[in-house]
Amino acid sequence: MIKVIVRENAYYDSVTLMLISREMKKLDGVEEVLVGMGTDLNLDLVKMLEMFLPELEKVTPNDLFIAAKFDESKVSMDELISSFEEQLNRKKEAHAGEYQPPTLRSALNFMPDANLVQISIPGQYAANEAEDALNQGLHVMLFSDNVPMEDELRLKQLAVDKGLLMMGPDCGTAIINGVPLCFANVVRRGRIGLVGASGTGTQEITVRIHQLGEGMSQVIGTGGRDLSETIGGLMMIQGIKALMADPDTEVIVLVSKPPAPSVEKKIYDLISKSDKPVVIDFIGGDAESIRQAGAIPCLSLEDAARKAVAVLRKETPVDFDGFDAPQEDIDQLVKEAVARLKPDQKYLRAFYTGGTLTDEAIKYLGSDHVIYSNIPLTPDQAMERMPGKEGHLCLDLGEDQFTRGRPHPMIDPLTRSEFFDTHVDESTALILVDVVLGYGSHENAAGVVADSVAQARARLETSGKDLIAIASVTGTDQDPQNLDESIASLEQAGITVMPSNAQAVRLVDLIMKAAGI
Amino acid sequence: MKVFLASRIDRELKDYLASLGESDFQVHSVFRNSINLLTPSRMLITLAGPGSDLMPMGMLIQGFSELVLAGKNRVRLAGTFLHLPENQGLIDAGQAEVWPTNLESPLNPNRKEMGLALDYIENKLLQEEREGIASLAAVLAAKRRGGRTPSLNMYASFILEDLSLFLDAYGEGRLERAGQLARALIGFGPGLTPSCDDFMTALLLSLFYRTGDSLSRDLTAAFFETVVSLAKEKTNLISCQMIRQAARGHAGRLYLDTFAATVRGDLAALEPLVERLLVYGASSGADFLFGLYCALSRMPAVSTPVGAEPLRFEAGRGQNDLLKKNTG
Repeated sequence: MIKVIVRENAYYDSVTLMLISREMKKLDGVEEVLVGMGTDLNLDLVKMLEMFLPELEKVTPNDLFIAAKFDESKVSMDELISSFEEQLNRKKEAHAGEYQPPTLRSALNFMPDANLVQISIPGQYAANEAEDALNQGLHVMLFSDNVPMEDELRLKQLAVDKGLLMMGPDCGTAIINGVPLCFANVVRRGRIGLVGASGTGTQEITVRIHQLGEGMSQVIGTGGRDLSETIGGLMMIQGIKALMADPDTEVIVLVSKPPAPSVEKKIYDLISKSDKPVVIDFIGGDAESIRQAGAIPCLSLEDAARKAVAVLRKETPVDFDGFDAPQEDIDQLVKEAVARLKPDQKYLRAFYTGGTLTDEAIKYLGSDHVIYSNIPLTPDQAMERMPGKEGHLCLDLGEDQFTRGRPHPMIDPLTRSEFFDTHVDESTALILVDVVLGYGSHENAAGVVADSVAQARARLETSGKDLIAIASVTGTDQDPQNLDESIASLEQAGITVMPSNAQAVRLVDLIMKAAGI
Repeated sequence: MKVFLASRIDRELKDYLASLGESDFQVHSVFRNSINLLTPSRMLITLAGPGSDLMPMGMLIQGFSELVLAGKNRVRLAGTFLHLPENQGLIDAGQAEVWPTNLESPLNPNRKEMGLALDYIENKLLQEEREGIASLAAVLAAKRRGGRTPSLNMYASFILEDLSLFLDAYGEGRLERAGQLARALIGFGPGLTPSCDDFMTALLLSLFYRTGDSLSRDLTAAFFETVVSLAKEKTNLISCQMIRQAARGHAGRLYLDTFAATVRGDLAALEPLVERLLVYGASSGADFLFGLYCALSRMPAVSTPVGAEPLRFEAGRGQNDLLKKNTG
């Protein structure tokens, strides 16, 4: 049996046509289905398939036709027409699990109560999508990067006008109402709120707060450019106001690189009016200005977590620049490490996947050592200026120059493995790495780096040398990756795992100084 | 009165509306994400939401989802305002940001990097069977590598021979013959814009921006004219407009950006665009990619910077004519 349906001057979007065609083909007894516009060539194909009927004689290229060949003992003409109509209406009747909304509008039809949209599409399209969402009263988390600065400013101004959050562009981490978004760790809910302009900085602080037994009320990301002169800290300020007004937040933490001076002033003016304690880690920023604004400055990301927890517990926050382990244990570690190095092993290789963690390492180590990097402290310490392989190198492998055309190393840690092959040699003394767990990160980031260290060690073994490898893991016991197994796999590879990035960096500093490198 | 603000408008549409001053448009077709208006001279104006690609003769409208238009509705143009039927208010196109739907700066092609980009596109096309004619990528690959010819869907199977003849003529620079053979392609395939039309759109863009060589301009312009004439005769109005615009170097931003990223060999930009294209429409995006792959991989060597001196229709067939036709 052959049946043809013609819709004159009918224009259905091509996804609808595809759905109709696919679903009709699934019907038992259907041998062939052809859906197309009534062009000469499509009609030729119908003829070739022996489905041409007189109804098609007057079809024009502006008409849609469906031609079907089927066994009428198994399927009826009415069932075919029903299938056709059903597919046309499907978009109105889609159910969870089966339906992936192709547009924001269809997503909102599907989930009308949603009040936040997470956008991750190529940068050139992202601003329009974000604007559309804001205009519909939705908070936005914009993961996309490569969004022009003027678009960012416009979007954030719109968000402020509407009392909404515009997190991003290039915002990788947030936890809203307990839901981790993009790259975020699973931490318990609690009474500390955070506004962060840096992804892994935010992750490190939230993870340490979790480990100290407390939790997060809200974690609001802003995107890395928010505190620039141009953007003016619009979202940092919006976030602070939100946390000041949030009854579930008792302590506010801010984390970012140092803001532009005018932005810094606006933030300090605002927090000076806060009746909630504010802990600030503007990494490498001026502590005295923070104190004058009535807030608590920090020495590191870990220190920020410790101070936030202390003030929450009504304890006096004190600077922490040491180690969890007793000093004698640290001294022993340093002594053993130095003893394992040969005299010509002189250089540090720090391969980071997290940008803020890299920043923290460079700022700490850079005060006493010359550290070459792709994000150098000074232009003369740019990695291109390193004399051959002679020098200490600390790389943020998540920067654009290393991720063009490939995934971020937190997603695909094999990117970092390549640097072990090319940048670790017999002159290398120390390896420093971060391992970031949580949503978005690789399922076995620790295992991959453990393999890289083991292979590098094996290469050096032939010349009787060893490597000192030190790591920190930014992860919680509730993350999708297994924290204990991650640490165990690193330790089995002979990597010393420190409780935080700051402690790992301090240990590296002590070893470098003790070894005279 | 409700005012819908147009946030972005194609430069040519802006000029076109200004040249008309006042006119009546008829709603031609309504989709989930776009609405087409038919002008008295049978041009289509595409209205879409702010998150959509800007199309040639298109504008993006804030609050697009609130527009309730149906086929045969009338929309009246007065100045920069489009008055909507049934007291729905009006669309203000006067404040929209003006964007081009063509490439305005040279592309500086990198032959080696473009080769890598084409390899990438080919690999993506080969990864799974496609609904339209893009599955023919597997045939080309098998032919080149000496492998086994894969089984094809009915569209690909039907058009294989004609498409091969067309590509041979095109690859040898015999554009007159290619124009004749295009008759066997235009309007063929599944989808609102038939597969071969998306394929041809990519090929026209490649030719327009002279990613090739030393092909005679007269020959190329004649080829454009033949293909556009065929489109008027053999495919639907929406697809015809896409082809007509491509022959002038215009296309939706997704197609244009993908073309540019491929020619530049910018894999970082290309990869997300390809991912979008592979799920664009029923098969349109994949068919366009297949066209791009065929057009660029069969082009003779580049002798001039891409986009530096784009081919134009001769007088009477170009942009100015487009405006004249519609003002007349």
